[in-house]
Amino acid sequence: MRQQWVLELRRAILIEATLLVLGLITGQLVPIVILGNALYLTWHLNNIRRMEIWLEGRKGGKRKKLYHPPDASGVWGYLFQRIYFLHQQNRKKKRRMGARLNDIQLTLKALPDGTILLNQDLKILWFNPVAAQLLNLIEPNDIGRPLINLVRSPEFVKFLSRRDYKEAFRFNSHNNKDKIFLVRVRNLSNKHLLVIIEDISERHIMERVRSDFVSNVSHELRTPISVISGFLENLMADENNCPENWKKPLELMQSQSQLMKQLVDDLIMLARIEADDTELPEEEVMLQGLITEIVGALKASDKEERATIAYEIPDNLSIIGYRNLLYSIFSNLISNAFKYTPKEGQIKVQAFHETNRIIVKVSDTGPGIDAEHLPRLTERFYRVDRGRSREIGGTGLGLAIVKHSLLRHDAELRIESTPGRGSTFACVFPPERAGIGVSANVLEFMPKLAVDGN
Amino acid sequence: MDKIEGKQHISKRFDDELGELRSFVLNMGGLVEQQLVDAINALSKVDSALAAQVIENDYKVNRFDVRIDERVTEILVRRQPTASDLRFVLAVIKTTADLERIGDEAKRIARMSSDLSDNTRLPSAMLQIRHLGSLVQEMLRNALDSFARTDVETAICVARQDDTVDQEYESIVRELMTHMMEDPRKIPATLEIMWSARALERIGDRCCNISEYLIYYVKGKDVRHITLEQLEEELKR
Repeated sequence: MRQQWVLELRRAILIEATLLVLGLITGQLVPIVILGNALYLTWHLNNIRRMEIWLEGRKGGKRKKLYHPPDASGVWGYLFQRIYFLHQQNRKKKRRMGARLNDIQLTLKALPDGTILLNQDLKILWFNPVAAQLLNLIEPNDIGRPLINLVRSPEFVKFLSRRDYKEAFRFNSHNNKDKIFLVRVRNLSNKHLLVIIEDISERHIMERVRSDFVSNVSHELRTPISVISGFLENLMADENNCPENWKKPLELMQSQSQLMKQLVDDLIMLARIEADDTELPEEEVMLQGLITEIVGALKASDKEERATIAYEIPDNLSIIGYRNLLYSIFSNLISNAFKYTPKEGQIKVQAFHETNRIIVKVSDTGPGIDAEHLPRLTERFYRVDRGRSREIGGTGLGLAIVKHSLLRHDAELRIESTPGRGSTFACVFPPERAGIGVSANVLEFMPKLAVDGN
Repeated sequence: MDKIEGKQHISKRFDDELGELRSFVLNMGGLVEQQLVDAINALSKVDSALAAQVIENDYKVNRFDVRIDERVTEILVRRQPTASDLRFVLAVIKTTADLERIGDEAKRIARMSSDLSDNTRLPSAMLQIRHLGSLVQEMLRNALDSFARTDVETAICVARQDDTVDQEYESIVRELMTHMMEDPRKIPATLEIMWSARALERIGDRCCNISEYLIYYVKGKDVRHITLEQLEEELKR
């Protein structure tokens, strides 16, 4: 059915030829030609009229569906059919796209988080019911309005205008008190923005409840334990009245209650670190002095012979942070090294700059740790070998404290270990935490390299 | 409700300018909302650090005031708006002034909290202040929302809430007076709390003003200085 107009052209030529012949035969050339062409023209004009009426007459007003086309012959019949066909195709395509759009919208509606689509002027293009509920947005009125006109918190406005959305943003809702939202924004390729809002109020409350619980329990346990410990000390000190075969049991009881006290202290410290206690003051802490102090304290409380320890700590290296937390970090790492390294072994503490960051490494020549345990090492109470750990002692919370304390300094812990050769625990502090390195206290000046041997 | 927003301007730029002006005002509104929240928290928790922050941030509110006035003057000179656009600009001027005053009241409340010391707290009064505070916060939020959405219904809501706020204020004053009579030593602290309550009540009045400006802009009717019933009557017409 191609080239309908060619067929029509042929028909037209045939009609003209016929008219000419008829005209010549009857001798009425001009009238016949004029009349014939008038009829032919009328036929065309009539079809044009029908087409116009047909195209204008839509079913159902808004839905714009064309009626079935009128019957016509020749090229007009073809045109009617063709237009109708294209029209139908178009409608089918729209229906398909509509269905797909509907699917997408249903999906987005079903998401548990609030979703808002913004254009590059931060005006609202679309939002789902969860977003409406969390931020008190009204559909459809708020479409087209700038989001910051309705969510006006200055911090949120600053965050949204920043255009750099790597980090998520937490803010307290003004509309619903006590609700805390986590907002993430993504730049879409067509310059639009996708804003995702998650309600983390429950999570926040639960974290707080858990942390308070641990804290409360630990505090409550402190008193009974110190009562027990105190009396045990008295009993043991009373040499005369203490039966011989009670001495060993009492000693064991005392060491166990010391362990409980240590555990409770560690739990309280961990809870306090996690609770994001911003009351602690930040200061510049000289590393050399700190490490020397720690090792001194550890040695004083420890009667046994231990491995040798060497330091490589420049005297001008310092970290800006919380002194007591830094003390815990390095104290835990070094005391672990002492605990798990045999007395013939070597422990090394190094501190240095590396591409702007400060790294403090504690390495030992102990038995090492299998690779499978490394990811879980900083879990609370995680033990590689329960039996050995029970003998060696400790609360099982040391590395957890180290990890959380490092987190408070925006630092990270890297653990490397070769079974049979030894382990290295490295603390990596970001550039913002590096101090200017001027030691105010003259007494903290120490020689650059010191080897502690007995 | 009149369809103010639907009108198109021959110059689309003018449309955008008015939209920007609206956002500007709401930006200031957001800051003032935050100041109010912080001031009330500083007072009820006697948090001097938070109070200091509120007092310091007041300069930002004032800066907004100045900048918005500059922008408005520019628009009046260059565009010479008429009819509803002119009403809008007038509403903006007045709203900005009231927002700036609300900022000042918030600063005043924050100042009270740094004057109070820990052992002069009155827990029951504080509870009522908090309640009054959240009512007023809601009023401010509604007033600004009605401005953002050009929504007369919400604006009327604000006018209604003002009565509740006034009643709350009066009951707080009565209770505080009983405290003062019971224990004269508590008078200084109680007076501080009373001024805070007054400041909150005045913020409520200003929120009412803002909603009246909005109604004026939308309906072209000046509904200030009339009672709530008369207001609702007027708007039905």
